[in-house]
Amino acid sequence: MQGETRTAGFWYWLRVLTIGRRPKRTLVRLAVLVAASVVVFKFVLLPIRVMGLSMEPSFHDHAVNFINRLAYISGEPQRGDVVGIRMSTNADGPLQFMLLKRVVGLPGETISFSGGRLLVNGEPQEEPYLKLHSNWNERGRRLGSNEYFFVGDNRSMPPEQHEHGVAYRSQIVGRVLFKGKRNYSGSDSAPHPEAQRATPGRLGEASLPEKLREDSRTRE
Amino acid sequence: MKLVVRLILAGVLGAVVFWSWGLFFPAPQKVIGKNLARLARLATFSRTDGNIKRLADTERLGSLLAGNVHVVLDAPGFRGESLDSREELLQAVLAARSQVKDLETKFTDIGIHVSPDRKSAEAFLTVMAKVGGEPDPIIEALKFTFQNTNDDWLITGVETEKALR
Repeated sequence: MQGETRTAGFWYWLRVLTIGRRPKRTLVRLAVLVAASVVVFKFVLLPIRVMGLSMEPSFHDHAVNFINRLAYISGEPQRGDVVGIRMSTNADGPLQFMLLKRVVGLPGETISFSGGRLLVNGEPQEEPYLKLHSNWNERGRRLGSNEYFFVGDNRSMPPEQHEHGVAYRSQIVGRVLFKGKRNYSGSDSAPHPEAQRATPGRLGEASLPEKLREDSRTRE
Repeated sequence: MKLVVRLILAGVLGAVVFWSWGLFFPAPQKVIGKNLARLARLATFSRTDGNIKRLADTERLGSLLAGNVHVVLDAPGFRGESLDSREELLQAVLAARSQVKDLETKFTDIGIHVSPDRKSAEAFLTVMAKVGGEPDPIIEALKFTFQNTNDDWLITGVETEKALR
């Protein structure tokens, strides 16, 4: 009789819905879920929010994505990969801000721009992800054995306003998980309306979402 | 039972000694970290701050700097500008405070390296500055150099660090 009353009762079902029939088991599941989330989103998939226009139109301002920190465990970065780059060459602390750029030059190569085209060892390269007109001209830079060349996809802005250049392999945090807007060859290649309005100094930087930024601050 | 109580007491005593040691003889990294946090706090201001608070904060900020502090900023609005003394820097700070209404400064991703002789140190960090009225924050990598003077770590140099060379 008492059991029937309980099973029919609102509070019983509310309790079943919130903490389950076996609260101890639910607690263990919750602890495992929290631990797994912390490990995954701190050490494997870093959540990021894109800030700036230097990766337009592939990655829009304020877009959310993830950086896969395990992407280069078994291999090295390849040309065309979009990666997160540590802002400082020497910082080894927690990571809250990084640059989001595309790898265009590999160790040992000479990278230059002529009439807006990327040249690797003097050879023009096909870059299907570029949708905005560029007229960049830059002299060749030879990369060292541990160096890569990075640049954003929005080269419609003047090169001096677009942060690009050489960084060490150790600065690469990982590869972006979702590869951005797939508009390399289709008709949906219209540039973002704000793509031409570049803001100096804030180009293609990526940061953790506000929520995690709060957490990082607390950790410090 | 007595042994267990003694072990617990010994553990508690050990923890207290460890904590006290860190409190009275903090590691250089901890002192530098605290100074940087204080610097970020003092560099933050809002339009509601009175003139006295602004002056007091600027003076406190000066206590974190060495007399011969050298600052080189290569960032938007500061193309290669350099300042060569504490007085020059404080004047620039006061001028900035009169021109900008609100500024929120935060230091993140901090890495501190102390020299083996513990007389100097370098701190690498990312500064995020939100200027009132601007939609996006300014984000720059900075390198600070410190000198150990009378058990305090004073800032002797600040320069912007380029992520991509």
